Amino acid sequence: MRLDGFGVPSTAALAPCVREVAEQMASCCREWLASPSRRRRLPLIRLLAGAVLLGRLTRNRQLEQMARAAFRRFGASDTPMPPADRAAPCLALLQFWHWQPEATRRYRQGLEHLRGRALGELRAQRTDAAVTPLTQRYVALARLWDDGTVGDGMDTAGAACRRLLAENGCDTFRAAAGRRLYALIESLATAPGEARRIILYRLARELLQLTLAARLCRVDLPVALIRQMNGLVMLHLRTMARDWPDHSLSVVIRLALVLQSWLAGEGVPPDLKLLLRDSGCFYRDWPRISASRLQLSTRADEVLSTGVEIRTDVMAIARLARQPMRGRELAPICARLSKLHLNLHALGRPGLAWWADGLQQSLLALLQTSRVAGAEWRGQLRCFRERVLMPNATVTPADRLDAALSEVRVVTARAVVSAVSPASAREAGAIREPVPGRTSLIGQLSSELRCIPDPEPWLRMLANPDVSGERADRLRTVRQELELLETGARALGVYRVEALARVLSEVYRHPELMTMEGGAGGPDTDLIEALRRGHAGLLHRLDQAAAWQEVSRPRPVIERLYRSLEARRGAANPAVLSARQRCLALNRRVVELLTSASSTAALRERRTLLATLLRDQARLLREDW
Amino acid sequence: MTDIMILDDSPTQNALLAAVLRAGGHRVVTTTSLTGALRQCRHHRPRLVLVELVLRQGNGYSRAAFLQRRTGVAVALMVSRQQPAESRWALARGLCGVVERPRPAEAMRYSVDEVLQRLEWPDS
Repeated sequence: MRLDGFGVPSTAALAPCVREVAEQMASCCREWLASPSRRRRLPLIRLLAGAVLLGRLTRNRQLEQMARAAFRRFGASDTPMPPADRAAPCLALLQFWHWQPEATRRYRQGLEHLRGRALGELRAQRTDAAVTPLTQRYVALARLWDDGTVGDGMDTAGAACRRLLAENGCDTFRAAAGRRLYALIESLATAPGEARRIILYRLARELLQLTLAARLCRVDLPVALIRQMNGLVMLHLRTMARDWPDHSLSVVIRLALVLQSWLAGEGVPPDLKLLLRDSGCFYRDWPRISASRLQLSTRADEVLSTGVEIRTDVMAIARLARQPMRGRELAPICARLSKLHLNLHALGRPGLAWWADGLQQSLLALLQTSRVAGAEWRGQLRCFRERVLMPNATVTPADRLDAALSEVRVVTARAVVSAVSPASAREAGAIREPVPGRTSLIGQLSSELRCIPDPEPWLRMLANPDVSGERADRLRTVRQELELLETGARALGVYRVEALARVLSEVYRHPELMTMEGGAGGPDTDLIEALRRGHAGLLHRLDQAAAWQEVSRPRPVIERLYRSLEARRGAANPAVLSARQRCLALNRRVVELLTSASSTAALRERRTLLATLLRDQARLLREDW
Repeated sequence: MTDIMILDDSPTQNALLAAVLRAGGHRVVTTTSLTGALRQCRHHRPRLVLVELVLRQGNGYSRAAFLQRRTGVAVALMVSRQQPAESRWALARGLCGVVERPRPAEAMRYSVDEVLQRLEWPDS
């Protein structure tokens, strides 16, 4: 690995800074070559990442390219590295920027100078009020440069537009955005070659801010226009400069001008729809660009394999959209669509990408019911991207994708469970809420239940014949709690918990069954064991309900409890046992019939009759016990 | 400096949270499975275990209660946005608290310290 020849930085004041990095790197590399251990490799990776950033900021392309090439070569080394170590360079990039503890005084001065210079640039653009920490912006832009993923800069842009809106109000925001947009268009039209790329980054960021403002802050903006422009700008950013057809830039400029006139309050031009349609056609007719030209070969297989998954997801959504769904079921699909939408454009699949994007937008409407949680969700997604996009030689792209999707499924599920407030989710049909005051009811249940969450002491007491007096008191409490739980679960629509609570309650209605036959007064260990399992099952299902998970079917637990009771009764009279089993089978069949019957007037009478029959039968069974 | 263990099946979340807590001066071990958590508890005996509520398999309440019962170590639940019902159910299950995982790292550290303080001084 060559370490010399780093070239002189464009700004003389930054030369010491670059030299410092180069010297440190040379020293690290010598150590690494002498003893190639993982411990020695990590500092070098940190320095390389820092050098890439430094090269970019100083516009020193030679330094940047060399550092990047070294970084890649080093990452593709034959020595396998665990994923945790792979994550180190990115984290180190931030550390390098903010808190490099080993940095010398000169080095710190160099960094301060960089910050000052960037701040000056921002002031010149009159956007300093819109941007929070400067370094965040530069890191976001650096990522944008890397792979064109605008989403990584979303947090910064979102925070910026919210702050700007809060400080200046909607009209000022629009006017300022219009001015900035116009300045960008002007320079885009005149700038040559590589300079256009930088302007396009700024344009992409501007459009991102506008999209976020429209989505999060409810600013009245032509979202379709902005998104169409954003798509075109992204396409430009992903291709090399020599692949840009001039007329495509002119489309971007035309759209930007329309948007600028809108922002300036000049209204919508009458031919906007026509223009959008034309540019949409142009967008779709963009020549298919091969993955290799876009330098995306490593991600191409990933994208193609998940294209099939998108289709599956979309079909699943189409089936489920008419039914009540929980928000968290939408979230993984949305996250996957978001990721793939960006990549599919680059692979020349605009139709599929648009399809994904449209669905994603509709899902986002649900997911972003809460601003805070929405930001959190994006933050999580950013972390996920950092991890996923990290090159990793030890796993195949498909493995990485699987791991990533699995990860994002959990991450988004967590965010959405907390994001979707019951009211908004109910409006969107996402969460079924049969009764008002659900939250307070859950809270009341949680605080009222004492024995059920920890049944072991009670069951131990039940098995101990010496504490009969205390046992009676506790039995009453348990019964009351079970009844309360049954009522609460019915009100909340958690029918599986309700069913199990009812059966347990029925068992406790016959305390004489707890003692051994023949008046021995001792506990029935088999029944207590069945009760223990019943309580464990109930607790498990309560945990599931509390964690917003699907509650498991209680049938095995219920049948076990009934079997214990029946076996006890049947031991005395086998004929009764068989009759009861027949009754239970008949009951189940009748319930199935009732469920399958349609609600026509002719069947109503039969339903009533069967329901009466069921009720009578249940009463008789209880009396018999 | 307190030993804290994090049980979360997302390695990214583990790494992020560990970094936050380490910055607050705690010693942190992470694990992604219940088996690993049991093993780590035997070896390290952490003062507090933080268990994520939403897991790929199983759920946080059951795992946290199991871990606390089996090892005797204080276990708190981690949630994305705390709701009163969640806290009450966690307390009813015998857990020592619920820690919200908010965006600002400071707030997260504060809530963990609060749980630790409660463990040290139960009456406070």
